[in-house]
Amino acid sequence: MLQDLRLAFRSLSRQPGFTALAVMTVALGIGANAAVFSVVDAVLLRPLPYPHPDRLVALRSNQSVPEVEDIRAAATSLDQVGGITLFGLDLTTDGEPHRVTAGLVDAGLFDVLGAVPASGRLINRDEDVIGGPPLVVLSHGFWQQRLGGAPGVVGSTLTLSGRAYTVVGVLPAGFTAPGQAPDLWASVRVVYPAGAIRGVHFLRTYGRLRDGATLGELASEMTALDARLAADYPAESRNRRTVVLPLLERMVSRVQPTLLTLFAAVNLVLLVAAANLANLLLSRALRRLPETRVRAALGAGRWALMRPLLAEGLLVSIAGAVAGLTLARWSVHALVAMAPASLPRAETVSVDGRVLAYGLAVAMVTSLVFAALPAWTTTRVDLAGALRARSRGTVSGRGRLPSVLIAAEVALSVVLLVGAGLLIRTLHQLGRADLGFRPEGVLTARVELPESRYQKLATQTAYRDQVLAGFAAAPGIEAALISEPPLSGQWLTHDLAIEGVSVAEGDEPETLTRSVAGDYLGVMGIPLVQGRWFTRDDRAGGEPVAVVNQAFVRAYLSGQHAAGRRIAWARRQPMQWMTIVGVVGDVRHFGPASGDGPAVYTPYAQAGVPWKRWQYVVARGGSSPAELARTVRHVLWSIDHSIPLTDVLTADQLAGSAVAGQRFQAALLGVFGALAVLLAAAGIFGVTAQAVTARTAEVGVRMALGARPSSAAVLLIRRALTVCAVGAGIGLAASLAAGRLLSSALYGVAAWDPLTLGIAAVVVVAIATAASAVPAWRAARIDPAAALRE
Amino acid sequence: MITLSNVEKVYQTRAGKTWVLRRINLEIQAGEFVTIMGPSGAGKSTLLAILGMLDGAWGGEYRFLEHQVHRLDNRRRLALHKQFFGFVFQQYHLIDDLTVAENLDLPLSYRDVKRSERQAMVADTLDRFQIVAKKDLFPSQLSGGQQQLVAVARAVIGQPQVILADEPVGSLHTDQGRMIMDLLARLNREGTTILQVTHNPEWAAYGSRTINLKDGWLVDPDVVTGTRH
Repeated sequence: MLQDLRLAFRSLSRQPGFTALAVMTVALGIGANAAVFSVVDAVLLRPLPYPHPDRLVALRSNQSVPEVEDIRAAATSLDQVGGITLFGLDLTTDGEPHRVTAGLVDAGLFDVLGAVPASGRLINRDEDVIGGPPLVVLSHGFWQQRLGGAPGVVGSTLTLSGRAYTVVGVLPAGFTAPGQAPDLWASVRVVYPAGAIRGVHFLRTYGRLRDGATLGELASEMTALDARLAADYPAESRNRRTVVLPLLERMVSRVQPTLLTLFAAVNLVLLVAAANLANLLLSRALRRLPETRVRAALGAGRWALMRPLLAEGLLVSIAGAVAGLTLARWSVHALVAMAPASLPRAETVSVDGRVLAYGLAVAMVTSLVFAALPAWTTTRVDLAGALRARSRGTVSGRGRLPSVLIAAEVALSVVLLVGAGLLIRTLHQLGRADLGFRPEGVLTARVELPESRYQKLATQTAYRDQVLAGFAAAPGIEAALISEPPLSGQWLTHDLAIEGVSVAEGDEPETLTRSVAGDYLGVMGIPLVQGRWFTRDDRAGGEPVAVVNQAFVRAYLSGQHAAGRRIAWARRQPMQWMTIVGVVGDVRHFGPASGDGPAVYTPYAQAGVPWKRWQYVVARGGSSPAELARTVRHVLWSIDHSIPLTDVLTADQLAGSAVAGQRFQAALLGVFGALAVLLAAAGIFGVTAQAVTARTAEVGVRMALGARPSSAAVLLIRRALTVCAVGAGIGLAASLAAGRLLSSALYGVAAWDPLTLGIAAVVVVAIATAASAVPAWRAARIDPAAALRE
Repeated sequence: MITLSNVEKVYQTRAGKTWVLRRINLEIQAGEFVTIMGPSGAGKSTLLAILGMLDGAWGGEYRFLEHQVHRLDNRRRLALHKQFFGFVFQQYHLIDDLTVAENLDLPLSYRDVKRSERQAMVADTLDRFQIVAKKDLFPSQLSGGQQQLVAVARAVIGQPQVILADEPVGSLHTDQGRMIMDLLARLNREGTTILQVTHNPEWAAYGSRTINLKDGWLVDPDVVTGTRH
């Protein structure tokens, strides 16, 4: 075989055009495949970077701090349990405020994840108590980037939101919480004691199974615990049903369908590339048919005849894999940059040894299989043909294999184009969806008031009043509000009591709530349907008021007149009733594809939630986003220059991020579709060019008999189009089946959307016509006299 | 050595049966130099393919040495072909991508001869045909006569008992043709049985016997013409 490889190398190097085309074909297929595989491998396949990751579990849904303690006491199938929530803290260094992300944890989480500090120590359970010492453990990245890797950091003090915390340890590089990467870690009970109550379910909770324990045992224990807590604490824990999942599954289950769809799509591209390679090798093998016959006449058996062809396929696959993996290395960064922020473990995506081995293996297997096809076909030779072949260039067609391969390429291209088309149409429909508000000209910025100076509601209200007054006086600002805007990903829900409606304790409907200050309707362009919006008179001490949306009226008030009805947060004691004073239009708070759920708006001043110190400042203006951002910064920092602004985004950007997943999928499928069409076009070009070469004499005879030059071209184009039409038909039928896989990602367009199917078919047939027209035109220019002499 | 009895070859086409060879009875002794002549389409190359066991789809009986070829399956027939026959083609049919030495090595590699033995046999053959200086050249770097010389060397390197030559000098000018024919005659004198197809009476005269074919029929099979050179 070494000899065969040596000769194959020599043979390929004497045909640089063919070799470059074949290697490029493999490189495109393998490059795209390996790049997507690197994401699939890093996100879905690799074990989590914790000891014994198979024993890690996630509890759905979030638990409160006391519930984590209950689980620790009751779940004997767990070795450890712990939870985490991310919390913004302000780090003040050299007078400049910086927002840092703190992971507020139940200290059991360190044991669950098997954390071992790189230096210092972790926070222990004795310190993780309300009133415990203010300690932090730093992530390696934060220590390096924010603190310059200072060697004496352990034992030093950091001022976070006005409070001094002692650094007790630094975690090793790369250590993060599942799906979250906090800058530093601290006790939830120490930093946020107000949140450590039973009714606030905000801890993402993880556990480590005892050796030998099963998920089923833990699920049974959680079911029993949920029942006990529901009986003991009906107001806080009724109707909670905790689901137990392997941690990896919990982390990746949302992105898994998208990634698997993309992986399937990129494998279709690989198939198109492989079919193209098979066609290239077939045409080469057909040109070498006289040589194959001679070898057979000299005594070569079937295997000996196939070996040179397989050796060439192997060399092409190795060269293609090397080029493709280089391509993958370059493109994987772009791929990760395009991915939605919700893609877990994205930071671990790279073209490493596993991906290289995968790429090489796929290239070799694919290329050998698809090299074997033409090798097998063209070595079924008529031995006596060696004696009959008078012309060295004699090439005969080899059955229908080239046409079958082209039809398959076209079919696969159509499937990919239809997939891309459906997702592009989905994006278009999402872009046109009525969000219930006008995002144009709106800028948002997140502001979190530091607890040290804004602990009381009165100081918070004063700050908000100053901000709104500042915006009212600022040039270029038409209207401003303070709240959590739609699509920001920030929301609170409350269990709701409705006056006159009797509901069992714990069965109260959970409803989205928004605390607001300022001209919410004016800034967001939301219509007032009934009653009034809040006025400056709706202040603390005044009659508590609320505004609801139309979905609320439909869902809870049977569509009846809402103004004057009273509602309250079910858990608050004593119950504080709020009078509904207005009804506003529905807004899609969670993205264009989400529904219009019930929502309640209340004034900040009356909300009575001083712990809720985060908010977005939202301004509408006619100037550019950059100008608007400068004005917003100027207004806010002129009031308190120590408060950092984060997430400074236009509402259009927020709307864009809400469809980032669909955009990622559509973009990649579009690239794959384009690649497939490009490869198919190259294949059609090659096969038509081959047909021109093979039929030169025939064309010459036809012309000599009076055929017009164009008729030869028409004949060849018609043949190419017939094959493409068959392939397109098969592709459309396959698209209908494949569309079901995509249906969960579609919005406002059916998987059998005739427009998309039609456009995909037309695009492919148009490109096929162009690809066949070039060599066919050459046929039209054949000199009949010269053709007949050949 | 070779006995054909009522050998027939027919192609089935839409228009009906087309006979290529009809009731061929022929006997060839070991050491003969037989020329097959006839007009185009007479069935010369087909007969050569049947004799060389490249074609297995025919009727009648074919005995080669002690083997009843007509009873052999494809695999065993090709094994006989590999063991006893060497081919020389009109168009030389050297492999373009292989050097002269590699072309000579090719039939040996198909016979599972050990690498060290093959190297020795190739060296001997290069020497015997006086083409040592050309061993690393590719066919495109040789003249037509030199290419056919290599082709003959390739045909004999496996030490076949029979060489089948299909218009071996049909593409060469006279001087080169004579050189190749002299070479074949020498091989024949050394004991190799040679069957050649040709249109040229001058080259036919190199044979000890001429067989004429016309429309698939053997014409006057007992006629012996020409003289040994």
